[in-house]
Amino acid sequence: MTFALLGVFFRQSLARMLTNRAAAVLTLGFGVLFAAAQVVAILVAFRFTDSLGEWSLYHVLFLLGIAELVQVAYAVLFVNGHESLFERILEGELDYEFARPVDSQMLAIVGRFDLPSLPTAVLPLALLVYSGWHLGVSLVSWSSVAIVGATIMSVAFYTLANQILVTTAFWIDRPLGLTGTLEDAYEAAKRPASIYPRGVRFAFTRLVPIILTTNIPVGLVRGEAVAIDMAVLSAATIVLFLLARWQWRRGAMRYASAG
Amino acid sequence: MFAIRQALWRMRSFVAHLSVGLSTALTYRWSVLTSVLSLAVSAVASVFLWRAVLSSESGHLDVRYDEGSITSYFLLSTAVAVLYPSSTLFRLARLLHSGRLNYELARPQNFVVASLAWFLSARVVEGLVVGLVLFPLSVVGLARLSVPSFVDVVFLLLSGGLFFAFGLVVGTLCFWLVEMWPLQPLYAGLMALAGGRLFPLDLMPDPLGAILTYSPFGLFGFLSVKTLGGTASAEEVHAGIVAALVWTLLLYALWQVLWPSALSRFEAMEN
Repeated sequence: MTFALLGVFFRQSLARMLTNRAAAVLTLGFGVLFAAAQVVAILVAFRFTDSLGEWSLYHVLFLLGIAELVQVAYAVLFVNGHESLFERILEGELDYEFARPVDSQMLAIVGRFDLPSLPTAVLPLALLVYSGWHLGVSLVSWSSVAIVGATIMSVAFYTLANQILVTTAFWIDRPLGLTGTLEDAYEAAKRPASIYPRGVRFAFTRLVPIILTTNIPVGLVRGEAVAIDMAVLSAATIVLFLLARWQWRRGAMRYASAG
Repeated sequence: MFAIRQALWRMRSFVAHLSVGLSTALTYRWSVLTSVLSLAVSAVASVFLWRAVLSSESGHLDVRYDEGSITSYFLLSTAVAVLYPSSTLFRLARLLHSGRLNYELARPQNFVVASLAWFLSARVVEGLVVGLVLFPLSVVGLARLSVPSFVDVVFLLLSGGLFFAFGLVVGTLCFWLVEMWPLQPLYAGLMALAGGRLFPLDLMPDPLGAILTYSPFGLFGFLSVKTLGGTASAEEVHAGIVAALVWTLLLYALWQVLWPSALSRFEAMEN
């Protein structure tokens, strides 16, 4: 997967966006609506309290900005590939991906960039700038570098988790209920970990560390010790990567072409 | 005599669609269960958020809500979310893009009646799955259900009819939009904001909360949840009935304008 190939995919995605201009405009407009609803929910909650588990409104808005940014990054880079992947698995239309001298799994999910989703990053970025300014977050600091690194790892975690769910189509006919599971489960990550009871917190920070994808950056802003959390999230991401690769190889053995 | 035979034949056609729809929906019953479970995670996150609001030092909630009632609200909200899924809105788009719309239109049937049969069959299966999940939750007191009155049942049926009419109108957009999926985040966003999925609408400042409650999303979202839980007042249910009727008639009138225009753009292709 070379930069030249990625350049080709970008141009193809741009052409696709310009072909479906109406869908592009709708994506741009409606993509921010759910994120805006999340912000309104937090503002409504803070009508009735001054803090959530020792977090101020700005900490929670910063967390929300990180969470939405992770989902926008996934949407721009991978959502189109994943949405069509399970249909192509079921319909036996992956011959192109398996025949090319490029990693088939990467080719199947990369290359269908959802460029109309790119401007929807405005809302989460605005949230991060607004809340970060109130929290005194400096753009030029090691903590900012760490925040960016943690966010990139969160995108990788989110993408790999979705990849595993989508690729179950090699085994399950029409896993419609599974493909939206992670998006719904990610709602749990849009809240401070401290609001959950101990058992739930353990499950979502140590077993399936989805909450860490958003809480680590806020922990860095608050100056908390997040080294163990970073280690857990890194280990989980590596495990997901290995699992996704193994699952794809096993799934390819079951693949039946319709060509 | 001819009119009676025609009515009986149409009823048989409706029942045939209903039974095929039920078989299809039952095939994907596990998808319904996974939808329930994944939506439940989202609801659990909201429950803990609002419980944290109540338990915080400066926390206070409107006297209408305590820990138990807010938990029940989000569990019932999840149940309603399963009964009114966004996938219903895209059935016409699936028929169009797969080429099966030709056969649906060529058959000697009323397209709206046939769509209603499919709609009801899916709701029956989803209702059964939701009922199986809600029953133990209500036994342990987490989900507070009430026995609906006749007026409550009328409102719930009308809100279901409103959702069907909404689906008809949204569905016709597939004749103009190549890609329908951007409407999915629109629906999710509107249900989150105006349907009470992220927070009870009566916690919003007046009159915004009241306006959103009687919007279509508030009717088949927030007010349906309150009615199921027995916390909706008689005035709210009566107002909901009137609002649901008005919205349904408006949407049906809009569909009557859109459908002929959509069909005039339709170019049937053999699949």
